[in-house]
Amino acid sequence: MSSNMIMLKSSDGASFEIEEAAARKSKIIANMIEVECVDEDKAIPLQNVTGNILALVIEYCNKHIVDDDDDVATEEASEEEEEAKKKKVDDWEAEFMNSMSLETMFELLLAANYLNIKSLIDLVCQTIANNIKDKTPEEVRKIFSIENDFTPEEEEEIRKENAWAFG
Amino acid sequence: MISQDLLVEILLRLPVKSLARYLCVSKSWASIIRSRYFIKSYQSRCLSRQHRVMLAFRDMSSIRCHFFSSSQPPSFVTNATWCIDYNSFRKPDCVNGLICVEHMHRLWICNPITGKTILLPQSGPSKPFTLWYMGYDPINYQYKVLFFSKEGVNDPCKVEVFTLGDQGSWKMIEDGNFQTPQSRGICLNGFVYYGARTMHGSRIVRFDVRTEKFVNFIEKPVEAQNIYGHYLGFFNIMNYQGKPALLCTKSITKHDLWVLKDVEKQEWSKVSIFITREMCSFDLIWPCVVGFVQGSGELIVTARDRFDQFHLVYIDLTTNRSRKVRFEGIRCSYRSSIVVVAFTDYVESIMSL
Repeated sequence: MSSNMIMLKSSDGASFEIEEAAARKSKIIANMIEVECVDEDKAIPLQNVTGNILALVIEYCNKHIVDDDDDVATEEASEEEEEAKKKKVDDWEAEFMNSMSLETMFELLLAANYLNIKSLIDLVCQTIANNIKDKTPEEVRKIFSIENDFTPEEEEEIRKENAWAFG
Repeated sequence: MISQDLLVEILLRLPVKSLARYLCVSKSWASIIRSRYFIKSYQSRCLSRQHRVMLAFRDMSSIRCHFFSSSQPPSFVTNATWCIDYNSFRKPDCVNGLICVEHMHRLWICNPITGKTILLPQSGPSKPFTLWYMGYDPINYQYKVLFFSKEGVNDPCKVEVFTLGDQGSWKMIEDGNFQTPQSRGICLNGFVYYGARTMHGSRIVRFDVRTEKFVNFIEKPVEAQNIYGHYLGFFNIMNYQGKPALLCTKSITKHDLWVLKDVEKQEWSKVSIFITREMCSFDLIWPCVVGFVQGSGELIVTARDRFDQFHLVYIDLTTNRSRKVRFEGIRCSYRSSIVVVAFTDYVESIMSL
């Protein structure tokens, strides 16, 4: 595995150095590297990602690239070791997401989507879902900045039909 | 804000109960949640999600059937998820999150999560001999009911299929079918398996839910055929690690489980189960093997103690260790028998939300 370093530049001008292997977690960056449109001395500009969010993305990629390397090295690892390792990753991810506000999660989701990092999209979507699953429709409207376009009668009708879900 | 694609990704990860509540967030949310695409995606995700155990209890002194579900063996179970009446000898079927029961000679399909119940239309005048199986086609995401009916014991059967959907309707697929279904059935990966007496003898029939065809008539293992219950057609088909399996009870402690390894070659393999005193205390009476937890392979045994308190025993067959769970939710009426059916691959269904 090459340990080439590449530079990423956020929309607000912050530069980050990252191992190529970690950056390849992003399909978009991996593609750029494949078609050799990455100049070694020049940073890749990411117009849609701010510095603080990019730092989170890089933290995630760095963590997961180590895990991928482990996979190759310990192919014959026992089931228990596999399980312990998976638990370690799960714990890290839980910790990683735990420190974030919902707003940050949405920004991170947009960045993960823009950079096309499937596993991070899955992680953030699941965490958002866990966060909102017990909320009321009013709270959800606020979180997603949605305007209620039902008439009070229409809303009452739906609530009545699904009264079991409001218990 | 986020795109609709990402919103769908988030919604797909919510429990059915949250989705039902968020139907009233806005018109666009309601239309996403009720869209065909969303329902299909949600149902297909269900298959990759963790299965739960759903237990149906019916005290024979009443017609009320209680359903309990749990993800992993908890220390005790209290609240019934749901209950429904049925007054038929035919036990309920539970396939991919929906339950089908027979009550007052009619079929009812219910979603225990939403509590919504659909009464199936009658296909014609009711006949004295009927038997049915519920199935699920995981390719087209359709629930169907396979229905046999006949006038006299020795008459051929009329075979019909009901497809649940917007305009759910009956369709006759065969008339003059000479197989006589005998056992309960199970639905696995789009196929319904059940025991039947056919022109060639007693067979396990494999019905393709999607194409609505009887595709295989599988011979039972020779060793299993001589067991009393099997000879008469009363045997139990179970889901063992995603494969159909026949349970042969030899004694209260000894069971043989015949697992259908290869459908085409009709190959069976035997798993011997020996329940020792350490695993299931003999203070418990009437132990009964009801199924296997999907994934872990734990055996589920139901029993009652001398105070008529109900217990579940989970036995790990690889380590021979067991866990006992006292069942607080239900108490047997004095000496009355209890029917327990375990569905070990229960997943929440978004149908009829």
